[in-house]
Amino acid sequence: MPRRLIRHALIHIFLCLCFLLPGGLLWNRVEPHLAGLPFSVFVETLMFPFLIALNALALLWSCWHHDQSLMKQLAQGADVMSESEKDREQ
Amino acid sequence: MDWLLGSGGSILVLVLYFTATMIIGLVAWRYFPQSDPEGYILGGRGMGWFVAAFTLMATQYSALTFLGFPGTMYRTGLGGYVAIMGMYVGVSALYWMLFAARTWKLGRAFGHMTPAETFAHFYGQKWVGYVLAAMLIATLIPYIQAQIMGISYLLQVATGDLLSFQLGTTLVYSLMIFYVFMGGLRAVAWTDTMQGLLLLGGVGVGALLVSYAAAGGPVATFTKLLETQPELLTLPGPGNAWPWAYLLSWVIPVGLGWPMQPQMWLKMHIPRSVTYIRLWPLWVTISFPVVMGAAFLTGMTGQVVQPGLTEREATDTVMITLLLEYFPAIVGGLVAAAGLAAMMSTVSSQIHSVGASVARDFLAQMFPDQEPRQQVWLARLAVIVVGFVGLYLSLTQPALLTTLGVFSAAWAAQAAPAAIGALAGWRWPTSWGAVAGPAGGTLVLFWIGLGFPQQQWQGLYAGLWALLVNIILFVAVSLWTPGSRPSRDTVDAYRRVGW
Repeated sequence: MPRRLIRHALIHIFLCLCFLLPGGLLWNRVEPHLAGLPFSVFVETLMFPFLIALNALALLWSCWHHDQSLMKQLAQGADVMSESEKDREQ
Repeated sequence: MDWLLGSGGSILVLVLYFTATMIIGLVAWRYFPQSDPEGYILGGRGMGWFVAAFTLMATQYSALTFLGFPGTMYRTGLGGYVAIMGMYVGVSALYWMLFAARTWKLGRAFGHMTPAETFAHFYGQKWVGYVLAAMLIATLIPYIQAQIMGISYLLQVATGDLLSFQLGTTLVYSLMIFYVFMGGLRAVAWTDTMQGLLLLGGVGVGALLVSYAAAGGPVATFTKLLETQPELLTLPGPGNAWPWAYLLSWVIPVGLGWPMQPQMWLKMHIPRSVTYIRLWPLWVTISFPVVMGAAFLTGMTGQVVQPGLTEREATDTVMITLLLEYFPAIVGGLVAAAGLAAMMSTVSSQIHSVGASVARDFLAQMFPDQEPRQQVWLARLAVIVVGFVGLYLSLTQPALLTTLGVFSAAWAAQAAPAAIGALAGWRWPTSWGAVAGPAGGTLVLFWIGLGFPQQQWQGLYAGLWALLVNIILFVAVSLWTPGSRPSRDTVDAYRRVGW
């Protein structure tokens, strides 16, 4: 599995564990925060979903050039079974 | 005018929606005739990013999104939202990050369409494909029943009880069978796209309308809740609804189950470019918070306006009840059409994928000398048979099957260890391990799920116990039966395909 996938998967897991973190730190603070939303609601409905989506966008970006070159090769009749060596290094 | 603002307008909206669905299905059939299985089952692997994204979303959203989840959030507050988001955005999105593009590439390399084709090919035994295909089809039956119940309820509400459960179900189901039969995946994906747009708008706008009309908007809703029921905005929520260990044990197997279901797996093969499939995790992490946030807002608005509802049906239908209370019926009809879109897009994809699985995983394996055109017709016939079996079951035994539907996804997750073994191209898993794991996991799931209160044991959800037993059996039996490992050639071929 290429390193870029492992890197973004680990960031995703870390962010999701924070999202699911047990009470006391984030969930149980309810004082009004951004635009009057309780802090727990702000964190769970806005902040973490935004960070998680940002990581998914970064994954898309990190795969972009590799994927584009693969599609170009496929369009020229190359075989999808010959890309792993280069893929593994990234 | 009164008629238009009343139930007549609601019926008009639904008629327009059904007509548009039918036209899209017919256009797909007329202008993109499918003479080979890849065309009928995968739309020729040629879908653009927009259709691929919306068909994923619409297929994943279902009756649960529209009726069940706002009810869960009404009853358990922020905990329900965190659990449902953790399942989709945490676990399902992670699976797609790691394996969606890989599945797409393996499909291109080896011509796989259904999950069982990958299993049978990698593990080198047709019977592995038969067993896992049968299991995955069985996991869908209870899920289809849950959708049908939702469809019939929405139709009854939106038409003012004009359509009975039987008539409404038969009409909608027949329409779906028709367009899936005619247009195959292309019809399913195009109708999904229309339905996905309707769903995203309907749920989002519906939640805001309800919130502003009934409780003065989101901020006013949460301010009021902070005064009256602050436990709804913290975890584990009212009545210790979501303790952390239980939450995690629920999120993992259920989130892993969605990508295993045949209709979701099949759709990993349909985008034209690998970049479009890489968009999936991003799209999931953007669209799900919007829809689940809307469901959360609806549930909380319900708590402000109508606190104290305890019956499950009353809480599940809180959105449509509030809409009908504060707005003319035509608005209720519009949002009901969005709900129908959520349910129909899921059921039509499921009928299509089960038909494809029957044709590819069973009939094509048993009778390998078929012409491509014959395979397409077999898939079409399978769609009709599967569709009517589903209709018959939903009309005759809805209650029992809906009970089973609660852990449909956790059951599908039992295919995950064998799937990951194949997709990763590991050498050590064997065909016996790939069958023993899901078999053991299924037994444990049913044992705890049906035999213990609230489908849990020692504070953990049945699905996690099943997955743990599954993994242990998968590894142990594989190590015990080294003679039935995948061939070295197959493993090498899988490793030559990139990620």
